[in-house]
Amino acid sequence: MKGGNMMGKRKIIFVMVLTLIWMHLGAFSSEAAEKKPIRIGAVYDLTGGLSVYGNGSNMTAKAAVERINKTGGIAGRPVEYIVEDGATDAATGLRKFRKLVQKDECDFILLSCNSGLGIGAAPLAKELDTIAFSEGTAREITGKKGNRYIFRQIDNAEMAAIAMAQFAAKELGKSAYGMGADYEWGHSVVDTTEKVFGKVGVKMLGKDFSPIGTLDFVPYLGKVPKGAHFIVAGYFTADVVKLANQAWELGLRVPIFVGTLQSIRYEDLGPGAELVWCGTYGSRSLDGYPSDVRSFQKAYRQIVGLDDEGWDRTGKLSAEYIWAGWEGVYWVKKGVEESGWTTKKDNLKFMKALEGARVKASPEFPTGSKMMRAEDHQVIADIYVIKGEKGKVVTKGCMRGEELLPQYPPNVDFTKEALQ
Amino acid sequence: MKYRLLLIGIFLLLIVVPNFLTSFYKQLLIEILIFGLFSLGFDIIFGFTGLLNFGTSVFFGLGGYLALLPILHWNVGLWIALLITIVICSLFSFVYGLSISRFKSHYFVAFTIVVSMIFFYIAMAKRPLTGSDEGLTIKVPPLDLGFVSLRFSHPMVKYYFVLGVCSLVFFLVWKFFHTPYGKAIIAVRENEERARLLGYNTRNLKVISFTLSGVVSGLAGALYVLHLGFSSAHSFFWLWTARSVWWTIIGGVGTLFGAFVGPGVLVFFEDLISTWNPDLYLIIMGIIMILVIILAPQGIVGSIQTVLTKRGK
Amino acid sequence: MMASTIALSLINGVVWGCILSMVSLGLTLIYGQLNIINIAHGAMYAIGAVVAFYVATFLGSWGYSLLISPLVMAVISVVIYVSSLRFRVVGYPLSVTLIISYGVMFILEQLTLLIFGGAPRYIPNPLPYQIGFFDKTYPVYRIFAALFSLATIGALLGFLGKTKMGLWIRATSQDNDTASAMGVPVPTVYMFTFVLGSVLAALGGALVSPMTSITHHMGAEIIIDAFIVVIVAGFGSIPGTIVAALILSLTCGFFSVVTSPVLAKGISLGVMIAILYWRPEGIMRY
Repeated sequence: MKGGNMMGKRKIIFVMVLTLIWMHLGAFSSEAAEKKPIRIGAVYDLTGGLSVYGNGSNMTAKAAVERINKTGGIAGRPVEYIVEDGATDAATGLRKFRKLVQKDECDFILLSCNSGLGIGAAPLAKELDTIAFSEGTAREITGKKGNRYIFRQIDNAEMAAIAMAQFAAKELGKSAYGMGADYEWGHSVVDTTEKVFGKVGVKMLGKDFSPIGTLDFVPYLGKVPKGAHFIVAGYFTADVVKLANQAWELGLRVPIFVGTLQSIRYEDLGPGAELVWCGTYGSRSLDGYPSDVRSFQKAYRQIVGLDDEGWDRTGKLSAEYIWAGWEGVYWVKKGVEESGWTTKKDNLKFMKALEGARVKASPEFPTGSKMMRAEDHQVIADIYVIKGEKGKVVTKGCMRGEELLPQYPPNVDFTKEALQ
Repeated sequence: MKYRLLLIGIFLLLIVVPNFLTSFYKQLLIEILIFGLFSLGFDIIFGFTGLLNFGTSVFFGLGGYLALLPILHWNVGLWIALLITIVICSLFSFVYGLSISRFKSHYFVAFTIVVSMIFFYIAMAKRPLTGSDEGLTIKVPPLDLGFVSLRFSHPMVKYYFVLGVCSLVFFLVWKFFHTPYGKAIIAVRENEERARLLGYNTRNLKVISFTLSGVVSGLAGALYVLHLGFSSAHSFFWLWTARSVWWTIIGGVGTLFGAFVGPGVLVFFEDLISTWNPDLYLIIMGIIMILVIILAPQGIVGSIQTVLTKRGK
Repeated sequence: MMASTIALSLINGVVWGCILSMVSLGLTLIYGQLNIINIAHGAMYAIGAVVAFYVATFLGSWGYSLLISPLVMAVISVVIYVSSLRFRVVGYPLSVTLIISYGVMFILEQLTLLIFGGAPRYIPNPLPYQIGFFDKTYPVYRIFAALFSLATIGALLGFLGKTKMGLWIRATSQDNDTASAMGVPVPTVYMFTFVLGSVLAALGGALVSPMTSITHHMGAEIIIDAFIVVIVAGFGSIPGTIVAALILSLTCGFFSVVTSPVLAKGISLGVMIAILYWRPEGIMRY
């Protein structure tokens, strides 16, 4: 009968609609989401001028992911890790960021130490609704040019300069001379140092900035006045080697405080090695870490393949900076597990979970306890002062995060930021 | 005639295809179009006028900042930002072209290199203005069409806008080189002495061409800033010049369309290969570039054109 | 103090000017003869330095690199030329060899990165003596490097003027058709010139290696200055190259002391432009 058939059809439709609603209620999909892997994408500089950082962070991040997968994954979900080469070029890095999110469907992104990339990534992260961790050194990445989507799992250049300035004032003398490469990073090292010097009674006798790509620092070193007890030098990798050697050859014997010694060996600093100091983000040598941290650091080094001196198996990567990859991955794990994050819809929960979070020295955070400051998403961690001494690069001091914190107030408050 | 039809066909394809592409490839296509516009500027001065401008990054970086700074500091709208870019780039390229037009080929090249270096150093040093190596970010203003205001970051809005601008400029440039002025410029490329003897004011022609080239590349720089919402002093770095050079040459010098094919092929492959092997991709790209140019010395489009005309006979 | 600083700067300018002129000469030779803009010149310079590093580290003495770096580079440049450039040297526009050169640059740089690594290295000074200079000292090695560069340039001039191959090179660059008709093996001359130019770059890298740090992309530091020198010098002019290199280095060095170094760089570039304005054909007309 017609009536009967209509009833039958309606029943079928009714059941179908019910099933559709049930599927959308997530009973079906959330189960799938739980087993679906979490994808962490990384844009690291594997080529170009920053390759010693990128290859290092890539190595430790990969190791972290492997270890996590061996021990149950993140919230029970396996982790996939995809790395792309940023080529030390912000434009390329941003394209890779997009690719990792839009093509490879990555849930979280790790970014290299390229500051331009870190800054350019903020609007992109917001557009793509993807949280990113930057290893860049520019202050404003977690400052006025950043936003709530960006976290930084390592201290920045300004923080290092603060620690370095205080250490120098205490140990090296009362008058300094500033030099740097004429771009933002070079200036920030010298300017920040000068500001701190003003507070602790050290006089900056003068400053000079050389154009990028300067081959020869002899003319500038020649200008260092006799009264300078030490030199503050905002220079990077290859320039540091040049600077140390050329200073020695000119007869300069004052300490030179540089911005980084990443992957530079004692031997490469030449006879000038004993002059070189550096405020950096981790101790190169194992024994430079305080006793409460050392055992965790040792375990971490064994997993990623770093020796007690701080070198990887190829002898090309040094330890000071590259732990940022490892800990970046573990911040992701922490955020996901503590907030119950399942998909990007939970990004705000993730952010809130990390804002103000504290971690202790542990296998996951082997460089020591630290805090992820809520207002600017900047980690407050220890700064180490290292120096070339008797054939090695040794650790001479450490400014702990708690000491650094009051001297580095935030200049933004992301906790007040709405997401879209 | 056939060529014209082909171009129209490609244009229609470009209108339709993105609707079927995934988000990433849409964005890649946007970048390719912008890079194509940048290379078009280079093709104008190198391919059509015969002058090697080894400092196109000046226009790219300048155009970018001319769009970025007004938006950042004065909150101007999209159209105003582009207008500012076009006007000031024209003035700048004109003055620049005027100063440089008396030079013959080799010395022209040196001047352009030096100028681009100077701009790079200034951009790096003037930190508050440009953000130096860190750069500056902006919130890209919406696309205001009078009756409706569209969010520019929406991929389809961005795509059609960029496609529209690139197509319009391409069309105008193409038309230009079919005008007497344009043809005169080509004559200068062929043989400047002869052109001058024939009565052409070669200096003026070179200045016109240079100005046009500067505006086109500058516009590309502005579009790139709108795409990324970011720029830094690195946009003045010689690497961008190098990119415009190899994109244009591989695409096909003097073909206009080659300026878009070059980045289309190279950016696509670079992206693909760098994912496949981050360590070796630069070597592979180098080999590809060498092979392509040896096998197709007139670039991809140039060689195809040659083959087709030969066949036509 | 100021006077000694300036004097130091001037001497330094002369030193770098000499080295720069040698490297630039390599570029001029290749461009003048083959119409090739050798973008890979910087990468070749870097390879020269990297080889010097390995020589110094494994053979214990940097001095051998003055022989080994050029040799290694000669082999590499032959391979480059034979596999790519020779097909498109004659009768093809500049753009073709320009791209080949870019491609070669990528390959060389990336290979250097893969082998040498990304970290900057250092070679101990082979002549670790200082010369007293008012209240400062100046490394003797640098003076040696300057003299060696000049000697090399002198040897090059002698070679071009007095040997058969030198004659062939000059003949071919003036008029390759006639030269070929007169029996000069033009293709061989082309290859030889390319090798010679590349070797000069590598030699420059080897010379500079104890003065500075060695990285895989150190070529970028010198290539732009070299380009500018080549063009301001007047296409193909050897004396012009030396003069231009010296002017560039001296101006930059002098002004770095007197004003800020960045301004000095700008001034030295400005001087180069001014020279071009005044003499568009280049400093020396021959």
